[in-house]
Amino acid sequence: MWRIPRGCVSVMFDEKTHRLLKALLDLCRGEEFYRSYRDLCIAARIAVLNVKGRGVKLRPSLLRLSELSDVKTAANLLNRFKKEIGAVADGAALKYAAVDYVYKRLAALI
Amino acid sequence: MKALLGAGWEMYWGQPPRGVYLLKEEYMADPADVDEKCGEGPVVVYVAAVFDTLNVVYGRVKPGVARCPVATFTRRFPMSRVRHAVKTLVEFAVSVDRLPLFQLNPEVIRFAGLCGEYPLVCEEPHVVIQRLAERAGRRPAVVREEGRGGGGWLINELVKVLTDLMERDPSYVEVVRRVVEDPERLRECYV
Repeated sequence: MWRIPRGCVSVMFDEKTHRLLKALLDLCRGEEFYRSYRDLCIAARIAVLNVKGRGVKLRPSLLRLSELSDVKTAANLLNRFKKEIGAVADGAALKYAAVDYVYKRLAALI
Repeated sequence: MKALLGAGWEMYWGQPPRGVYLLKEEYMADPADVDEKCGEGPVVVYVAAVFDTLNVVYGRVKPGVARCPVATFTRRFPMSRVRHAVKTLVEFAVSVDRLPLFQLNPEVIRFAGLCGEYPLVCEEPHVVIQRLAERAGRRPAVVREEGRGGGGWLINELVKVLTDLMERDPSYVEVVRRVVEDPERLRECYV
């Protein structure tokens, strides 16, 4: 089966996905919502990270988080993504894995 | 491939028929980029569900590949089975090619009547977010209050105090590190 070579697809999301992420991040500004759906909010943050190219090491410091519970949640998410895309991935693969998580989580919630 | 798709699919070497694509254009590779890599030996694969008036095509490259070998798997369906046909393509894309759902073209999903099964693909973002906000508002009071009066609030406050201390006096970083590494050591201080 043929796979798309790296660099053939733009990292940018389509307009609808972009709007969904933006609206979700707006909702995550609410402290109560953030505490209830921390994983969803952090996954959305990973999706909009400005990471480009190959060789992105999946570790929580990518997000510059200060709260320990945020760091722990980010580590759990990144461990999950590592299983799908590897410990060192390209930026697009990481962002796509994050949006995939957001979609699956939203589908389960709504 | 035929085994993955099920019975009735035929393969030919060549471009897929004209039609609407299952994936959003943004997530399909540019044929020129793919053509550059043809020396590495890839085969571009398309899967096309053929109807009398319309074809639905799944492929990860926009049409127009000139130099790479192209294989197309095709099967004719009556229009009454559009739902089944498109679902076969979606399942192939998601389970075999492991594509995320957000890359699916909502128009195709809507046309096939599959919005009930893939609601997030069809729904407008503001509707999804509104439902999520409503759900968050409906969470039981006990859960919502946990942050104010329960252990969660206390831990958050402790983390804030410790963060503040560490910023003012870096020697606290070492103290916190030691406590995290061996919490029992803290207990010994009070015995």
